[in-house]
Amino acid sequence: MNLSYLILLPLFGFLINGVLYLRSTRNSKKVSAELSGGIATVAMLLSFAAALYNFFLLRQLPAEGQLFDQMLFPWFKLAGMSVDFTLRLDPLSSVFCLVITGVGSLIHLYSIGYMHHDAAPAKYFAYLNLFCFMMLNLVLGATMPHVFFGWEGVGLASYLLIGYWYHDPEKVGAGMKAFVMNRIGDIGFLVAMFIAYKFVGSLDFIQIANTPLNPEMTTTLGLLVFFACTGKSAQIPLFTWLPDAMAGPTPVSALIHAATMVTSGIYLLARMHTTIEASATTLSVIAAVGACTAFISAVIACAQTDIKKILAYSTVSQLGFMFVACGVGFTIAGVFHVMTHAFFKALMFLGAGSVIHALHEEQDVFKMGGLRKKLPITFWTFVAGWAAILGLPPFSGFFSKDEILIQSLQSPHGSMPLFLVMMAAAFLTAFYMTRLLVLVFLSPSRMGQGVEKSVHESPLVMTLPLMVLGVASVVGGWFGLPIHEAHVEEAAGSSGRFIMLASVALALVAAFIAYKKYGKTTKVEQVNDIAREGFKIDAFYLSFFGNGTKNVARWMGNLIEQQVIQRMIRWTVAIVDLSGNLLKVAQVGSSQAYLMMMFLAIFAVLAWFLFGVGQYAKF
Amino acid sequence: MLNFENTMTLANESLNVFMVVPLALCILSFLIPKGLQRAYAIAGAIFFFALSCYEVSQGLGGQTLPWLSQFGIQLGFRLDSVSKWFVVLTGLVTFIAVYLKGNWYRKSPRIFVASSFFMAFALNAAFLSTNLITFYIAYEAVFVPIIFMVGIWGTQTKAASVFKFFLMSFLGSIMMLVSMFYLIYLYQSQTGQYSAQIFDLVQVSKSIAPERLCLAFFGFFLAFAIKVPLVPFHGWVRDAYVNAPMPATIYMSGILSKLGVFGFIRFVLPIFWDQAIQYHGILVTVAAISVLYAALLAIQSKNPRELLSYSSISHLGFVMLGIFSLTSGGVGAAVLLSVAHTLASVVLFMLLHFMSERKEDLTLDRFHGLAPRFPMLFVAFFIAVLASVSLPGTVNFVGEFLVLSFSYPVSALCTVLSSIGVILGTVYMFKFYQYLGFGSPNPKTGAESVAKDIGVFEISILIFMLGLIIYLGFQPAVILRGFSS
Repeated sequence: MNLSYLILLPLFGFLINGVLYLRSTRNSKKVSAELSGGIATVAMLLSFAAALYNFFLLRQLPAEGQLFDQMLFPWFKLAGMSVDFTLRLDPLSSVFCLVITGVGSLIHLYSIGYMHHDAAPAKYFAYLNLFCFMMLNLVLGATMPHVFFGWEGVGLASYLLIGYWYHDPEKVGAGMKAFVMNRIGDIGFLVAMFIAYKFVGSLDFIQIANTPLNPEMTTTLGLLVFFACTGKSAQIPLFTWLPDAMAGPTPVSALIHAATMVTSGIYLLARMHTTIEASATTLSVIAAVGACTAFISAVIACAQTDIKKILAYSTVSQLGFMFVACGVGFTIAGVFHVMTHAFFKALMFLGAGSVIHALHEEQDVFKMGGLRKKLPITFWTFVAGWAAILGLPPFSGFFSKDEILIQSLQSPHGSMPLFLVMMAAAFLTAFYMTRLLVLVFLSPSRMGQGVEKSVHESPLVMTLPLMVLGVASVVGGWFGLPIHEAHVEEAAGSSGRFIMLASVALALVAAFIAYKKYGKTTKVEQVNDIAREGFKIDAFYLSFFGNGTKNVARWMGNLIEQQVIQRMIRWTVAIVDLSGNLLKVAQVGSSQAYLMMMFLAIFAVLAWFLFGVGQYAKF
Repeated sequence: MLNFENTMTLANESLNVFMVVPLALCILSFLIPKGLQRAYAIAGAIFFFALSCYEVSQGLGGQTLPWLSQFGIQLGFRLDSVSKWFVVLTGLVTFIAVYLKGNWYRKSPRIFVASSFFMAFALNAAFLSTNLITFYIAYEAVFVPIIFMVGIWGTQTKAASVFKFFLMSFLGSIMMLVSMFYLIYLYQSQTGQYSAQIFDLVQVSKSIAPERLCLAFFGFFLAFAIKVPLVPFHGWVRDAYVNAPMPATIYMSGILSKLGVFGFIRFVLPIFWDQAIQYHGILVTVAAISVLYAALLAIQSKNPRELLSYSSISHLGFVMLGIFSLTSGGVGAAVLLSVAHTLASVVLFMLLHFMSERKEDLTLDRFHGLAPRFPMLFVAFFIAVLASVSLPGTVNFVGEFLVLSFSYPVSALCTVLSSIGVILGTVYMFKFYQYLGFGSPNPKTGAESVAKDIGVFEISILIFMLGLIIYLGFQPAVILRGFSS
């Protein structure tokens, strides 16, 4: 087993495309999307092959010992702290590797078509490969600093890709917001590492899991880790960056802001589940935050008009579902939902990209409609994604989502209120998704004449990934997670069966209501309510924290720095001047004179000391 | 707790090259014609840097020369695992400083080149001295070239800034000088002999009641705290960094600040160990305040150089946090972070110089859209920004992470507060980058429109520096090895 190929291939892809791009800036010859995209896609496909190969090798190991460590090089070692750059493959990281490289390859392929007209596709594909490299480091790292390396690296790639069209200050601002909010969460990660080092003495995940800590420290550690996850996985309170992140190219939204990076919070909780589950407080906080996020962002999604924003809030909501799974002590259900969600949400984003591409960058769902006939492949694959997120049997979402719903009631950490909030969120999910589907594909066309004529289905390079993901969205849940066959069947008690039926019925009712409400929409709707603005949470953050920091900084600059510090210096100057005048020596007032004085003083003192005068003087 | 190798047993005895070579280069520069000064300076600096690296690779060492032996005073020099990195950095920073083009090569270039090499000489003498007196002389001598540089090639408000800088440092130095003589006096009153050797003074400090050293401790503390600088002793930094010519700014931020850091490691901790423990709470608080206060000042700054100077203070706060953790791990991490900070800040100031060569106005209140016009420059700039915000993969991350890890067990609150500096750092550095690089390019005017991207030689230097940042980010053992015992 050799894991280095898995991460090195995207790294090489990044380096090659990076050099190609930099060379193109010198000789101003554009590198074609086919060439750079081809390199990037091949790198990802080979990496996927490596992930598959390693997955099967891992399966052959006995069930208890499915773990493989590969030390690449020692990283840093100082006074008792020793961290190596070690890749660790176990069932958890193996599943994530498959998702990242598998879905990643498809999105790379799709991007060749989507970024065909871009000015510098080589740069785009370099960033995309860099992202995959970092993401693989995140899931394969055996120590907290190694995961943090990937954690920050994906944040960086996300920043670069959100602000990819950087001539637009708004997009740049969106990237900045994402990066800064992620970094706020990172404080949690950093302090968690300091605590782990102080109390465990090691930053290796296995060591941390095997070292019992006192209850307060366990809770603190768990909550800090979870705080880091709220940044990366866009949960309350740090979720407002994700809708803005839609400023990036649509395949980026599919890969980074739906399928992979935003799920790294779930990964981290799963990786540290022993610590998380050792504290009931941590668990209930996670469940509460997850449920609130799932519900609130579902409400907001119902009021959005931008196709990508609807999907973005939907992603936030679905991530909330996954966190609820972690919060009721059933991390593995969360991971299962990560996988199915990666299929259907990537599918829907790519479908949305296909629509946007066909409509020349139109993103308002009220300016679409009737695209079922014009974009048949996009439509039918989108329907598969829609059915999956609604949780209709036998689509993939049915298996993973119902498992979470059932566990939120039946697990020892679950409760009735939690369950009811989740059911409400599921209801809203069905409503806004049907609304989206109906407005874009089924309702009468509201496009302008010029746009309508030029609409055409996307090329094969874009529809092929849609079809593959469509199939995955159907069958993706049938076999459960490849790492825990036992759980799905186990859940189906009699009340479990009832919950399943109830949730499917609820979804169908919601879908019907949405169809009735939006099926005949003929004119552009003006929604102007507080939900559309995300309950003004973002505006609040901006005015409170953003401007707050700015004001404090300005206050410091004007008041403390100018009035106190600089005045202190002026006083010192005055005192020196005064004493100088008194001594009638420093009347010159120029720096040279002071310099001269200083040297004279030094030499006098030195002479006094060195040549023995000092012997007779007492200090 | 902190054991440094006893130098006298170490092998490398050719330490005088670190001082003789730059001094010779300084004197020789007066013989070189004006037009060749830059070529001479670059060649000399490369030679000096390469020689420094070679000598350092030959192993650690110590050297004692007789000097005024009738008073029992010797010249002592020592190359240990702390000073060797500062010596190498001196060579590197000297090279970058003389490489930059500017009015210092048009107006009296001889003085500039001579000053630069004299600075290297004085810095190395300070970093290698084990004798407080030679250290002090070298420490003060560093001012001379800086004052020349700011005085001759600085901007209009230079007189005020020179004076501020000079006055603050001078106050600190005087305090240190008095404290130094007090220590020597204590040694004399105990043993009947004079010595300014650090080892002798450490022994004295161990055998004396801690209260008697408090004032001396504050004398040293103040001198180095001004030099680093720590808040609230930073009043001189902004004016000095902004008004100095770029090479002087690079010297100040890259290596002069490290003279303060070095002073804490070499003198304050060994001699005033008990006092450091006694005032530990204040020390870490000052470091944490430096981090946050300077970062906030950087956020509200609209002038790129001012922003970088505040950013420098903020990062040096992390370095001091590591030193004030009073653990060997913290000190090792602080040395690593010092190297990291020098590399990153030198690259940033250098890139800023390249940019201001190409465009006069770089005010950070609107988007300038320069990235598409100078792609190579901005790729390098971006990597330097990432190093400055301590992204993993750069040596700055390892340094900062280790510093915080070792200071957390000692002072959890200050560590967590300092970590907030990481967020603030991201805000101001990214704002800095985005305002310059992003947005739509403005209509070009006059000379600006013909400005080209950086050339091959510039690119090679940047690849070297940034490569070092990334290489050390994955192999920090190169530096940490000396501290793992």
